[in-house]
Amino acid sequence: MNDLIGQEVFDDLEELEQWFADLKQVLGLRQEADKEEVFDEVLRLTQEVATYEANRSEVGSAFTAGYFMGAGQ
Amino acid sequence: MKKLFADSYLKTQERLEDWFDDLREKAGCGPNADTGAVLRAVEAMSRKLQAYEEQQTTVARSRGYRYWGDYYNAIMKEVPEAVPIELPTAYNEVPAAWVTGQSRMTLRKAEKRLLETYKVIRKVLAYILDYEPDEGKEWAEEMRNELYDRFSKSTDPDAFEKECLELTYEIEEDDPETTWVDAVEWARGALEKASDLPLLAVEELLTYAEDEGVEITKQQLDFIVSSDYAAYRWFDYLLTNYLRKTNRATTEEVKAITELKEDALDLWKCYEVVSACDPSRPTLTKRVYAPSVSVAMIDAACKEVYRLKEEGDGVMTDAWVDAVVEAVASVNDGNALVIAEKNR
Repeated sequence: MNDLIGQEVFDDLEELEQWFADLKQVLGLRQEADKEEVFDEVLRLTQEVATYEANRSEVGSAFTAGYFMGAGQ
Repeated sequence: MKKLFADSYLKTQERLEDWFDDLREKAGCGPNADTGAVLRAVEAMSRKLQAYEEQQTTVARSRGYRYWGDYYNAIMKEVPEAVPIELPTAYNEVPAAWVTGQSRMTLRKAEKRLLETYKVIRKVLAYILDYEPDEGKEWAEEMRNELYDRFSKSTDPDAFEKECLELTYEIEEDDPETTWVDAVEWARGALEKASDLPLLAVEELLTYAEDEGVEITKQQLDFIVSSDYAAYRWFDYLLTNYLRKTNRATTEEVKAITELKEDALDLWKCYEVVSACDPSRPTLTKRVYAPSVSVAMIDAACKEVYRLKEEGDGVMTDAWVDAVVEAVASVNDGNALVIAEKNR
């Protein structure tokens, strides 16, 4: 019975480890990265997406309002 | 010993659960999302950011800037400094229907979404403040009450923000339906990164738009910019201008030409349908056009379909396919015809 519980725990852990490894890969982190690094990277990603969307909205409003129409040098 | 192991295991699990809860929230997932859902959300966010970065670079370069930052700063220099607007405390709470209504958001998600909505509310309040000296205090107070009324009764944030936009249009002196702005810069940004439109025709349409100074109403512009299919809509808008030999196509004209164009391309079969290679939507397809498809050829195909519709009973037959292919052949017999032949 103890063996069975142990096996279950190890199976769960193995699955979790695989998920953690996949997450690091998606985030472009090295495999040695720990939980804190992963969390910081997800936070950075969220903030960058939000910043981009805010910028895009500001630029869109500036164009729509006719403040900027020119091209750069 | 066994108890020690069990205690230690439970503590580790608890710490892991806390970490996962925080991560799930930051990834924008609901409290019931499992590890798979979080991984998919992070993947989607990562893809989104990559697409945004590419889009930024394309837009900046199409306007003569090497970096997005330079372009953004140049624009912001021209925008008058925003009036700091303090939101009344009445806006602190999420409208009840956001959570209980059709959008069925969790309270946490609704609170996060509310921060975005605040920006739009501030914008409307700034407009009201701007026009208060001309319109009077009573008018301003009425507008503020109207805004709050719409906010508290709103059922979802997107619809409310759209209403806010309409409210600012009501305030603005310029009617968005009759205010025309330059279309080229906007169209170029969207069209140059589209890979599923006929490249030669895109180039020709942009040249035409630049030479003729094609313009678009603010209303149409807002519609296209907020669309998920902005590149296609720009293509149709510029094509309508080209075919109608105008520089200010109306919404009705665009609708009519788009329908005609779709029928014409469908009969001509100048494109191949391939997988869009989107892992999240495996059945999604996209069109790949022959590189030689030009505006003149699309024009010929459209004119032929129009003639056939006018003369016949409107039922498309194989004879229509031959007529359209022949009409196009009279313009050019390049690669497009090879594809058309293959697809028949």
